[in-house]
Parts: sequence; C-alpha cells; structure tokens
Amino acid sequence: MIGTATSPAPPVPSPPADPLVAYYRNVRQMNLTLAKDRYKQGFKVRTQEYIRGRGTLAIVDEEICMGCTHCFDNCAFESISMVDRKFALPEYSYTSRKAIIIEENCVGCEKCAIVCPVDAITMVTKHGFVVKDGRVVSTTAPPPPPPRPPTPTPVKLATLAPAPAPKAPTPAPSPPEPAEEPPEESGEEEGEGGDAP
Amino acid sequence: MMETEYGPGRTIPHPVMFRVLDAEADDTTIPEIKVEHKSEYAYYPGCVDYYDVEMQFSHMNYGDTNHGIIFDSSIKLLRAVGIQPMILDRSFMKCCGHDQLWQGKVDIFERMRDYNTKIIKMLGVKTLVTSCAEGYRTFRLDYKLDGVRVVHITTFLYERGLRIPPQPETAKRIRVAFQDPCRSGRQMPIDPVYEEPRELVKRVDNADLVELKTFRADAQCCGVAQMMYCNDKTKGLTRKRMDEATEVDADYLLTACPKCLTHFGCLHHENRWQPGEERYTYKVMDITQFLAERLPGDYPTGSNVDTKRKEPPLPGRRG
Repeated sequence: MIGTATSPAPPVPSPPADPLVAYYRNVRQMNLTLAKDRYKQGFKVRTQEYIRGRGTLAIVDEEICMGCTHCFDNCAFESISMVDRKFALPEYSYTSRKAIIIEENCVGCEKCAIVCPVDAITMVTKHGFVVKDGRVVSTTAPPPPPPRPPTPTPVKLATLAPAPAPKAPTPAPSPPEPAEEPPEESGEEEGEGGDAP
Repeated sequence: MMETEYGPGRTIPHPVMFRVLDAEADDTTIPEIKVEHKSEYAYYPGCVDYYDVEMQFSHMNYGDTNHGIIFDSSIKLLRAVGIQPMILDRSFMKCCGHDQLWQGKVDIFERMRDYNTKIIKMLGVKTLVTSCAEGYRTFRLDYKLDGVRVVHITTFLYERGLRIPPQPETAKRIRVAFQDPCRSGRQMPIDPVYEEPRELVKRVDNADLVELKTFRADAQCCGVAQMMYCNDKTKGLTRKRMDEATEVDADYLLTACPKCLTHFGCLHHENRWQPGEERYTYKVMDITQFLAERLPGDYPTGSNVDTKRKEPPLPGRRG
C-alpha cells in the first residue's frame, strides 16, 4: 500500500476565487508549457545531422558564431573557450565574443554542435580519418584482420569437404573458399616461425 | 557554405524558434476552440513565451530578460482600465507571421494569415490589442481584418485614460528613455505610435522622460531585424543604441517591442560578464512592465509562475 500510493504531492496553489483570474492564469500556464513542448520537438531532429565519435573534431565558423556561450556551458571536456574578438571602426570599437575549440581536449562528442542555436559548429574528421559509408574510419592504421579460428588440419577439411556440404553453411562461414586459403597462410606462418628462432 | 544559383553563398542561420514556428504553419486544421471568457476585446500575446524558451535555451542571458512578464503586465494594465480581454491563445492561434513575411517566406505567411483571420472572424473580435510593435504592424497592414480595430496597447491605454497612482514619497526620481520600435514607428505609414508611450510615461509622477539622441521617426534600430541573425555588425549597432541611453544618463530604457528587449537584454548581459566592464547601469524593460510595476496589486496571470525565475541567475557563466 505505502509503496504504491506514495506520490509526493506538488505544492498546488489554491485556485483564485475570481473565475476570470483563473482563466488568465490557466492560459498563461498553458502557453508556457506549449512553448516548451514545441521546442523539445524542434531539438530532437538536430541530433541526426552530425557525425560523431573518435576521429572527429568540432570547428566553429566565427562569422556565424554569436557568442551565446551555450557550447561553452555544455562541453563536458573543457574543450571550448570564449574569446573576445575586437572590431575597430573609425568611430568606435567594440568586442564580440566568440567560441574557439581547444583541439587537444575535443573528443568529437558533437554536443556543442547540437546545442548551437545558429549551426555555427560542425563536426569534421581529424587528419588521418575519413568518412566511409556513414562512419568514421582511420586511413593510417590497417583494418584489423577478421577473427578466424585456427585451422590445424587443412588436409582433413579438403578430404571431408564434399561429404558434409549441405550442412556446412550454418556452423562454418563459407566452407569451400577458405579451404583454398588456409594452406597458404599456414605455410607463411610456418615459414616466418621458422625464420624467427 | 552552400551552392546557390549565384555561386557559393552562406545560408542565414535561423534560431530554432523559426523552425518551430514554421512547422506550426503546416497544420491548418482548426482545433476545437474553447474560450472561457468571450469578449469583443481580444488581446494577442504573440510569441512572448517562445522568446523566453529561446532565450533560456540559446542565448547568453539564461532567461534573465523576462518576456513573459509582458503578457502578465498587459493583462494587469487592461484590467486597470476596465477591460477584461479575451486572450487569443497560442494553442489555437498561430504566430502572426511577421518574421516569416519579412524573411521572404511569403507562402508560410499567407498560410498563417488565412488561418488567423478565420479564427479572429469566428470569435467575433471587435478590437484586437497587441503588446508588440510587430504584431501591431502585421495585423494592421498585412492582414485584411475588415471590421476589426487593431491597436497597440499603449494607444489603447492612453485612450481609456490609464491613471498611475502617485508613487510613494520615498521613491527616487528616475530618468526614463524610450526606444521607438521601427515597426510601430518609422515603418508604420498609418497611425505610428510615437506620442502615446511618452504620454503614459509622463503620467508616472516620479519619472522624467528623456529623449535619446535619435528618436521618433529618426530613431535608430536596436540592431537586429526580428530574431533573424545576430553577428558582429549587429552587435555594434546595438552597442551604439545603448550608448545613447548611457549618454543621457537614463535609469530605464523602455521599448515597446519584445525583440528590441531581446537584443538589448542580450548585450546588457554580455557586458555584465566581466566585473570591470559594467557599461550599462540602467535597466532594460518593456513599457508594459514599467507601467504595471507602478500599479498596485498583483498580476492576475500570476507573475513569475516559472519556478526558475524566482532567483535570477548570476551574471556571467554558470558553474
């Protein structure tokens, strides 16, 4: 009983006696919540626009940035700093605040790009990374070799290959083609292993 | 950068507000409207609550500038002159479409205009009061509301004879400057609102009205057209306008346009960031808020209903 029924009752202000005042208050509250709800929907779509993750970096277009400091407040890695750019005109000068990215700290989480109200921040790939098929991949390091179980006896496989052909696809991936490759690899490995000691 | 037919160009970044407002315009089905208090006097608050969310989300002053108080103050002032207005609520009205029209999105504007006109006719509004200079111009000129009188709230209060009770003896004398919004001033070919706000300010007995360097039809812009785009050049213009108020030693800088309030408030906050750089010591507020603060009594709409507003945020960065 206690566990189910305990709901902390929010402090509800007593309804005003005047029905007209109640009407005005109701409309005011409704407008506030309406604005907030409609805003929330507007922000959901923005998370789909950018690439994110390791190998990406945020950049700020300073002509667009209006110094709202929102990225600065939302950055979890202290990788954004605000600077004052000075604009000097013949009659007077003024400063305008801009965001700059500290590249050493940026992890490419794209949070700043999402919160930026004027889309001044975009995500780019770092040097040595490219976008391929919608994901960021490194160009310098070779792709990791696919995990493959060791094949100790290639001869057996070759001899047994024709017999269990129908039920081969389910347990082992592509039985006939690997049958040709493993001997070469094993041969190389053996050769290397022989050289090293 | 984007490729246009004229070569590479840059899109103008729009605040999220416009995406929300544009998305609203697509749905033109008329919902079931239930107005609890019908009256021939209607008050259209406009997008003031949207400004608040926009300011809290995307601008630097963290909602320090209170736009929602324009709504509260307008209702309080209208009740003070004996009007119980019907509120043209944002749940069944759309945005007036001013920004969309002036940004060139005419098709979106026309959709909003037709929708709103239908609803205003349906509700039988005789007098439409707006507290916003842009709403005033748009409903007056760009809509075709035959038989509906569109007035700015300062005009309406002046006509109905708003009385401000004498202020307490302890109240200091204050110098008040008024910024003429362009939409209700020099860009309003018929019935520009110049005289009425000044007359209303003069009715506050401890206030001295001072004029800025440029005023009335020559009044300089607050810097940004609508909420369109804030950049270095517009900040320079805003700075110039706010310096004029510093020169005349004003205690209050009033305006009748929520967008002027936005941009002034933004720069006001920005210059409070560094303690040594306090340029602007005056307060920036809407004229309705200024007048409503001088009236006795509470706000009928429940002022500062947002719990976040009880303690205004400290100037400068959070955390």
